[in-house]
Amino acid sequence: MQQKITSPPAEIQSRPKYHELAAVPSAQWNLVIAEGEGMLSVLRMLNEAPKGFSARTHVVYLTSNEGDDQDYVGQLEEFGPISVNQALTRKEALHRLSKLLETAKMGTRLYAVGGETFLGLVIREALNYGINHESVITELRGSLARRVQCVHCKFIAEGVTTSFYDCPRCGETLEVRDHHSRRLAAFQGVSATVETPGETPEVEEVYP
Amino acid sequence: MSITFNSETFRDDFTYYNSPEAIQRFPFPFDEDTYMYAVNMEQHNPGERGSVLEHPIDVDEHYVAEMEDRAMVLAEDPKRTQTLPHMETAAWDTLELLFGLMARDYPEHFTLERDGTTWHWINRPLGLDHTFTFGDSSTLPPRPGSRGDVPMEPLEYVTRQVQGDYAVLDQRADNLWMDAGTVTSQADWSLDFDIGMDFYEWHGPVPLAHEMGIFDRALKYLLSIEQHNPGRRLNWTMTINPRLDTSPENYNTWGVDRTTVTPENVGEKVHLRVELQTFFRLPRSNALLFPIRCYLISLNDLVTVPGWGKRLHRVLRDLHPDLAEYKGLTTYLPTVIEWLSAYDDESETVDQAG
Repeated sequence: MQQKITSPPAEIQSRPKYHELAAVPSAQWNLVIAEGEGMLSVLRMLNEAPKGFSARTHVVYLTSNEGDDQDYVGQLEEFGPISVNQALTRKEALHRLSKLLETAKMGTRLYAVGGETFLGLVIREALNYGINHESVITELRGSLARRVQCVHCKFIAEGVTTSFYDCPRCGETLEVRDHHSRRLAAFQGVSATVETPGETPEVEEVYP
Repeated sequence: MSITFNSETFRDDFTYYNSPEAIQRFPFPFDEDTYMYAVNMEQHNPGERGSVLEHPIDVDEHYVAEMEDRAMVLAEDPKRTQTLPHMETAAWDTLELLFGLMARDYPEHFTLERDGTTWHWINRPLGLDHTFTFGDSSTLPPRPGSRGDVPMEPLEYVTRQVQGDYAVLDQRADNLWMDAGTVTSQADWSLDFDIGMDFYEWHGPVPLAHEMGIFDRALKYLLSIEQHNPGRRLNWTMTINPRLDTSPENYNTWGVDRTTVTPENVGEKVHLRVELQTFFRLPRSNALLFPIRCYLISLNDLVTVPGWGKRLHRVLRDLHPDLAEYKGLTTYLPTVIEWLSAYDDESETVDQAG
């Protein structure tokens, strides 16, 4: 895939790499899942896609809370997709995706666009259906907020936006690394104060 | 030759020790005065009699104590051993290879009798005598501590009886995938986090080597390993106290040890930790078995071997700071270098053939 890269630079290579959404013309069926303003990327892709592409496409759309996205669905329907599935929560969107994957036919291509946590959860869902993660086209558009697993007590914290945070379960002050697990859909948090007891790390907002 | 097994611990009171013979056979990894990453792979051919390379799988005086330590780790954290469902065949391959080699090379300690798929395994040092059906997990002994006598998975069963950590790598799409393993004596990486990753991903945190092209070349070498032609390399780091379980899971327990090194205790506390990494192609699954065998030696013992203290002094003194940081040495490295300088007369050294 020679598409434009949408991932920020990462220190560690296990961090997923993302590209701009682009239609794969050879795909017989397409399954597109978008979060919030990611819908703008979907509309762009459909606009640029070869004729007949939209008619082979299902779309799952997780509305954002910002309230400025009401007309996305109307614009989307003008392209004539097979179905538009609007979801209000992440859980519901992933459930819709799962239902579509359950009945997906051979030759189906999966596309996802949204924040980094959302993309991780979509890939994890795809893995559950035996889809090779490298075949999924993912575009990062939205929040960098992370799911992070505390390597010590294994608790997964949602929506971490800072370089350090306190684990809600074990209380350890953790440094958020770029090391990422697809199976957990999570980054890794490792104790930051063990070798510097008494010092408090400077917490920065780095994953807005 | 029968091995006498040490009674020793790798935690709490740390009674681990090396006999004079174990010091002599320690796999000192430096053949030059400097160290940088390299694709230091070679065929895993039998080495000198009595050396750690004499047999493909080395069993030594620490065997029983290491297996006791593994059992403790697994009791605390069962996820240190995992097998993804598609790796079951590779796990049986692993059992066949390891039990076969141990019985062949250490017949006074281990016996394997095979009658079709009925296998009879005797492990004298651990006092085990089991009969099971090869390929049928339900015939394996129960997992220690499990409720309802759940049988062990084959990988757990065999790796509770062999020194070293084990990663079982699936090979597909010109890559290797960490899809099974037993990891209880690791240098700060988590199987539970890394399972399912490809070769580049699980090496993600390693500095410099990606840019140097080390992993591209290493992967190429590993993908081409054939049955009956295993490969090997040495890797190293340092550990405070002879602790095997330096896992990220327990980093908040052992990490503080790095702040306790003083000029008075450095020789006793600081250990060189050498990993003998070997690579075996497995016959049925085509997976790659990756044993990571850990050897520990205190600096006090290390400097008793002529030349080692001097060489280690030079390697550490000139070590790239990114490597020191990644290996977790930064806090105590100056103390170690200062202490080792007493063993370096500043004379020329002769490089051993690599």
